[in-house]
Amino acid sequence: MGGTTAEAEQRSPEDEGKYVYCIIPLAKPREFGAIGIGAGQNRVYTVHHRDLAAVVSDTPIVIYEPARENVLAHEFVNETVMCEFTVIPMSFGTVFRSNEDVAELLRSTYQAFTDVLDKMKDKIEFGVKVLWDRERVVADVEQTDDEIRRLKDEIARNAQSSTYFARMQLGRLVEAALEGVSNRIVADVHETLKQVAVASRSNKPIGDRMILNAAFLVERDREQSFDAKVRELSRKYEGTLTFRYTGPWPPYNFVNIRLKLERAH
Amino acid sequence: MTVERSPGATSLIDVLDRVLDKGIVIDAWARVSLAAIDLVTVEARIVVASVGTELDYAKVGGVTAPEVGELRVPER
Repeated sequence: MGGTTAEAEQRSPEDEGKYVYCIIPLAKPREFGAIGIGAGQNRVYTVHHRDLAAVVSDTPIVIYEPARENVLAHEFVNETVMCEFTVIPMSFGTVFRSNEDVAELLRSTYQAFTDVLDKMKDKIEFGVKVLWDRERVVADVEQTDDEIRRLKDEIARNAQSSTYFARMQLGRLVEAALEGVSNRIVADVHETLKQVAVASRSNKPIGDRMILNAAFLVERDREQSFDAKVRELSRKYEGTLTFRYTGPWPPYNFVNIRLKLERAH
Repeated sequence: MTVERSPGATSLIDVLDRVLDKGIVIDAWARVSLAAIDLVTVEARIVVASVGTELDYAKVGGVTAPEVGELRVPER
């Protein structure tokens, strides 16, 4: 048995790793309570390099599955820390071997992390998903669009003779009208929320009913104004649209830092 | 009936949407390696491959994120 293997086996497999949740600007050690990921109540604390801190908890060295309790624990720690600090969130499941390794991460990424923290200072993210009742919008469009109404009446009157092509044309007109309605709503929501946000991102809508899946970056002290605008929109479109409004989140959608391992020279 | 805001950690789908591949991301191979090696003693180190912050507004109607504000840090 080689020396390195023997040495590795001597290490206790228990609690030797460090799960990393996020990076915050903080020079002094800080505890966030026994809210860490994994079995048992693992204390969440900080590991430092100069004025940067990584928020971590002890963990066995394992690959965490993105199971419900794990993912929610990761998020809950980030939200707890976010109450007081500007955070750059780590993606789920990052485990280092030791606090020295975590400090090494902070050392080698110091400039990049400091720059990003500066840009995200006192900003939080909100999620806004907009769903519509498609049938209702179709009924609406059939009432209000002259050409669609005319074609629909014509098909209804000539049930026997109305051609396949007339029905096809009706289908196309309805689709185009729906797209127009959707684009107008999405533009209105964006324009309204833009007034109280510093940035926004559109993600791909999920499922048939969703027409908008967006994230907004908001200054902490404008949280109330943002709330008010979302409520204003939901009242304006009451009956047609459903708003799913979540947050505050760490700025996941506005930070994209890729790390890699490199052979040392 | 007006919209209510839910805290992030109440919707698993919204959480998964964010935590799996956003924020600070370490590629899968490096993630597995990290658990197996000591950075301070082994001949490898962790470096920034790229840094981007999205500080602009989404293009309305589009589903892709704007590239504006992208800042690339050269590999070291």
